[in-house]
Amino acid sequence: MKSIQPGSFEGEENHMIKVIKTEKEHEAVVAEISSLIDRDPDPGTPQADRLELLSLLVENYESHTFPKRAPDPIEAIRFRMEQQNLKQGDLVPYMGSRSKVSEVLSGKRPLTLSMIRALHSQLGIPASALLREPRSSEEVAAESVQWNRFPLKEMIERGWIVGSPKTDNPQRLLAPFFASVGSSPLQLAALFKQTKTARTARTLNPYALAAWTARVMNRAMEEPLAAEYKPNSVNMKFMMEVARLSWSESGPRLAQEFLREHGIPLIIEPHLSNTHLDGAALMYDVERPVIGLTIRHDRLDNFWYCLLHELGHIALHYGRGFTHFFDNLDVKETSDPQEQEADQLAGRALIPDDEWNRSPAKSLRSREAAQHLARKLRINPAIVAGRMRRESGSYKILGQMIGQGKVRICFPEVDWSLN
Amino acid sequence: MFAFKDDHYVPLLRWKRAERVGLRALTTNIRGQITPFVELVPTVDNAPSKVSADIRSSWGFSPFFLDFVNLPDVESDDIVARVSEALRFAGTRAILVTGLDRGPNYQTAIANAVTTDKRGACIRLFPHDLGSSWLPIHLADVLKRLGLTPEQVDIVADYQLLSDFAMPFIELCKKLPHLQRWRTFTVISGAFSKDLTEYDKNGQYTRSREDWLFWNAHGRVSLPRRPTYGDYGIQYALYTEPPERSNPSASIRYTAHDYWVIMRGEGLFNEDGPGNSQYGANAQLLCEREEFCGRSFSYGDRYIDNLSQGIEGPGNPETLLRAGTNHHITFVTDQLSKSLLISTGDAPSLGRYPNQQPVQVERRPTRVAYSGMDQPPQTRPIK
Repeated sequence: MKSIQPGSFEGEENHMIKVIKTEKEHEAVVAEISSLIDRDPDPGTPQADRLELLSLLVENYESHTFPKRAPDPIEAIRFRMEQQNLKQGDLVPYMGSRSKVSEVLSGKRPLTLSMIRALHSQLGIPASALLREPRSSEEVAAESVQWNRFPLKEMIERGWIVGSPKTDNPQRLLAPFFASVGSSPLQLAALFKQTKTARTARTLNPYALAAWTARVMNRAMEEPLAAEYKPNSVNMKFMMEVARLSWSESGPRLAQEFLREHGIPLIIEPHLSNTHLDGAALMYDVERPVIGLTIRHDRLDNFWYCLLHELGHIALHYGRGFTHFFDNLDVKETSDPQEQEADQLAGRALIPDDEWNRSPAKSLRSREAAQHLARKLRINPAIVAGRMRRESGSYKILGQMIGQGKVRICFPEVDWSLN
Repeated sequence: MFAFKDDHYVPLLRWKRAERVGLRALTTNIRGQITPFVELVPTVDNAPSKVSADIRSSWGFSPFFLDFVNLPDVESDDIVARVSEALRFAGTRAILVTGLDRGPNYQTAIANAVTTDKRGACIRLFPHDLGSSWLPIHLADVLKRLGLTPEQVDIVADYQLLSDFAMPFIELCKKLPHLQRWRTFTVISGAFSKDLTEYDKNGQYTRSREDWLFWNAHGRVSLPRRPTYGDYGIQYALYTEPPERSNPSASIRYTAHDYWVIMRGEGLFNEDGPGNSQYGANAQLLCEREEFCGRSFSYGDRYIDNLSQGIEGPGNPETLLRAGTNHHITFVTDQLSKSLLISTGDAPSLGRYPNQQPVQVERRPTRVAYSGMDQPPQTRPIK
């Protein structure tokens, strides 16, 4: 018996259709439905019949899996606006003014009786829906978190949490773990929402990202404070000082110690599956920022650029309303102004513009040119080689110079086998 | 008087613009210690008036050797006669070069010019000539054709590629008839590679100057007559033209004490490549190497230093060959003077590289024989 494969149309009507029982089957059927909808089959054709049948199966599955809930007043109004293609201005006759419409739809103002009457009589919105209490943000957030979608198995393997993904309630298992970033569903939901702005080339798994973030924050809280973080202490001079630590073979470790002495925990934590993350600047704590690096690419050039990039975020954005920056620095071009700023600052701290413009490394692609500038700046040649590769767009050159395999060995306490 | 002192130098130069300008830019002191061996090449304009004008502007009125061996139609053409006439008219002092296996028309043209100029001639001996047991007979034949005695002839033993032919000087002296009678006696050899393809792009290398080392090794033993030093400089000993539509790498060839520094970049025309800006960048690296002689050492060094600072540039294959040739001739001339000074113990110990120990030594060429040498200095006159 063939199983249902999304996206395959040839002879699909011959596939046996069965009741959906798992999420995987559900996803496959939803994909096929959207493909069929795209093809817009004529009524009465086998494809149209199949579309109808599959829709019933999905509806049946979802009614069991996602319990139905009556819409609250705002959802009901928005639903009708969408149906009738109405804009906020079109609701002014029923609510009184444009500002009232806006406030009601944002949940800041409750509906008055006259509003309910007008919306019911003029737009046909059921009075039962309009009379219902709007749900709290907390409720909305709680519903948006699917606790079983966290990478529980991987987290247990890494020793982040203790329990069994099969027998334990995921929410109960995970709630303490998320204490550092806020265990409430509202805070988690906020975190998920913000991952959409992460610098990445592909869709991140927000649950894996949230888990990694919480892990880094948890470990940062365990770090003994060598010193208090002094606001605005991270600046160009500070960053250049960090960059010069690269001269040593154990530079990455020295940088970690240096940052600890300045009240900034640098946490090395391998990334989880489907996050493809290089690092993050985490600013949840008002007392001190935290840097997390995954060392996904075990290369000196990558390490130093990532570290300086995250320090750039701290220099530029800490205490200015930002809570975090997630970075996949394989993504070279970014339109995000904060990312651009951090890129530029990191680049200048590692190799000042005037030095770069004067250096043979700008025009040559040779080992000697990289070493020449590295000696002058007292930084690791891998940093110069990395810049030369990035600027030229040629990643075939200087492959022997970028310090492959020389970062993770500086952190032997990390279990790299899980990465 | 045409004579070579012990520290005289005969650089072989193919008569292209880079070599011409490199020669022209030599200082008066250096010019007084060298006699260029000029080879005309077929890819440039060899109109007699142009050749004579170029010679006059680049070298002036001092003696020089001139060989037509690379020109394809030299046997059927009267170019030897026309060029030698133009040179004579320009007042330059060419010593025309012939060899043992040149055609009869060529030999006749040389003989005619020699008769008119009364300046003698040069006989260039290639490895196959030097290895032949018929050498004395062939030499006698050419002398007869030229109507000259050995005292009126300069001998240039051209080893070409030292890797293929490396006859010890002691053996060469034995094979060469009339050894003490030749007006001058020079050995030229080459050790530079044909091109730089044996070196990876984007790198710096050193290549042993086997020609210089060989001359030092074999010229310091007791010899009936010590040959004057000559070389092909930073060019390949066998003449070949670069392929058309090539994509040459941006490279610098720089002569150091007993090796060359080779800086090889990537193709100048590589898509998205750094192109000619590589020259300035490599010049910057070269100027910081210990081998760099300093901008006041020669015209070539000054050009490289200017290039490194962006004062001149961006540079191209010709300007770098010009600078490299000029530096090489200056360096070797300097090296010959100093090596002779050192050998006699008359000079203070010298640093190998000007960047290391800028020791000032009086640059007065002296005729100093190696200990044990019993032959007279080469001071035969030229008419």
